[in-house]
Amino acid sequence: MVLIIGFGTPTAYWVATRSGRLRDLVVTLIELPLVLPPAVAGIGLLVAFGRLGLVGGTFEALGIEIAFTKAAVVLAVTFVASPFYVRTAVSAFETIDPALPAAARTLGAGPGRVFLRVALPLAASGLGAGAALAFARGIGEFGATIMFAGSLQGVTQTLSLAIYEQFDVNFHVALAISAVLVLVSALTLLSVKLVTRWRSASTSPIPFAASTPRSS
Amino acid sequence: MALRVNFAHPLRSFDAAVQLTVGAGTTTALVGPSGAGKTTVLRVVAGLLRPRQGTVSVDDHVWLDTRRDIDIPPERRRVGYLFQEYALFPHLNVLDNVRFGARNGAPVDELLERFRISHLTRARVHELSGGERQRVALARALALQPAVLLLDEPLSALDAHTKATVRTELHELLRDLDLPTILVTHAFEDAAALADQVGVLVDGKILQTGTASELVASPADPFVASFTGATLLEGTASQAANGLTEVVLDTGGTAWSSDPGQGRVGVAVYPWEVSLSRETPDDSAVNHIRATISSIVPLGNRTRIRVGPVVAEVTAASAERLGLREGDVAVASFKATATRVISI
Repeated sequence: MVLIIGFGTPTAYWVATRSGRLRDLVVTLIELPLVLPPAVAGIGLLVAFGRLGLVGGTFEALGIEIAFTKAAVVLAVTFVASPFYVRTAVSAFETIDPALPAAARTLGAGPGRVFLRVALPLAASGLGAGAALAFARGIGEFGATIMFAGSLQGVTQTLSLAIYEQFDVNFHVALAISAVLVLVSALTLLSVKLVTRWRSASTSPIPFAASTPRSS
Repeated sequence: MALRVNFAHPLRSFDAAVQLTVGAGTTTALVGPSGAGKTTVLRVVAGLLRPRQGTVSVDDHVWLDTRRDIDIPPERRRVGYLFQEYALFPHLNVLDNVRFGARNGAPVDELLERFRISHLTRARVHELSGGERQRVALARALALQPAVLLLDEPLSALDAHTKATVRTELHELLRDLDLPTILVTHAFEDAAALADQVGVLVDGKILQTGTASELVASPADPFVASFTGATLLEGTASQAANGLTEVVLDTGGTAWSSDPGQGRVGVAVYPWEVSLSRETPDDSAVNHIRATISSIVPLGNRTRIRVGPVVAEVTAASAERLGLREGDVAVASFKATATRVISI
């Protein structure tokens, strides 16, 4: 989650404030995991970071093992869930009235301060909603994790993987874990709804803004 | 302090090329239709848009010189920019908005006092009225202690009632500040009320510059004429034996003018130069246009009446005395000396 928000937010801001071919390329790369079958994502990660993978060999030489460890779970979940956060974040940044960052610039704020004091607070609730979506997707992650990290109990077994395993062994345990996940998902969804409602109530846009035609 | 702007930049359907000098304590209004490039001028001065080529300087401080590759970023230019919808930060209260760009030692309290918003410091932007918003935005821009003031349609977001008050306040403010100011507006009356100089900007070029009354007295262009409120009658001009110019109007009839003219022209006449009557009067006015009244619009103590192609503005009292109604036939009369002939 920290990885997604930490890297996702600046990426989203970058995308939202740019246009052109490079932006389109970046957007495609970000959205790729969204359309990729999770199993394919798992294979891809394995080929990249596995012991015999493209960069996996380098990591192993440094004594870092990734595949079938907790790091692999994190990587798989991040890979699959991040588009949900980044996409929501991009649209949150894009809905900011462009006059606001421009006003901040004329008021002496450099690009960094504009990001921290204007863009980030204005997009905050959108970012929260995106984080919740990514969180929900991350919890349910199955395909990529089982391919890339396996399902080693106590090491790389996520709740979703545990359900699958317990399904054969003890159906009641699977049912119990499922119940927990239903609760977590429902709470996540509820918090998104509440945040969205709170936001529209507190920072409702200026009533007659944008109703008059802009001259250029 | 004087602001000097000179730039060229391609816009969607035309190239903007603007040259402008605004002295300290002087307000120059840029007026023109939507999409003429008015806001572009402000964005170039503020550094929000880098034009293809040009220079912007305030006294010896060069803010932009594309040839020498100088482009000071907006945050270091000291520009007080009042945005069209004021662009107040909705996540901050009034005080934090005003303090956002305040320089050390900026008299924030005095500004709050001056703009009568001291009691609103804790209020959120969405709780403010249009007039209050405008004052917060002005206080915020001035807390920066700017070297230049840019006002983008400062009155357009206000309702008609607030507008008159705010216009007077703004006029006093501009008089007190010793800053070069550029005011962008599409309303000629706002420009006339607030600015020392008015530049008419059409398709990215300044067609004419002068005081508001100069533009009214001698519009150089059909657009300037209609923009300042004149009715333009198109026709073909020729020199008549009596020393006047005879213009055969496209709508039928003839108009006489004391201005010289030849070929395709427009005859500009201001509504307040036109008088109305039921029958053709026998007076010094040589121009009489007999036509049907198509609209009658009361404007406070005046009434605006459209007779055929001409608009007349008469006092409400005389409109009532004539008992004119839409669909009636009336005669619009104006003197030859009250017209301006403009080549088109």
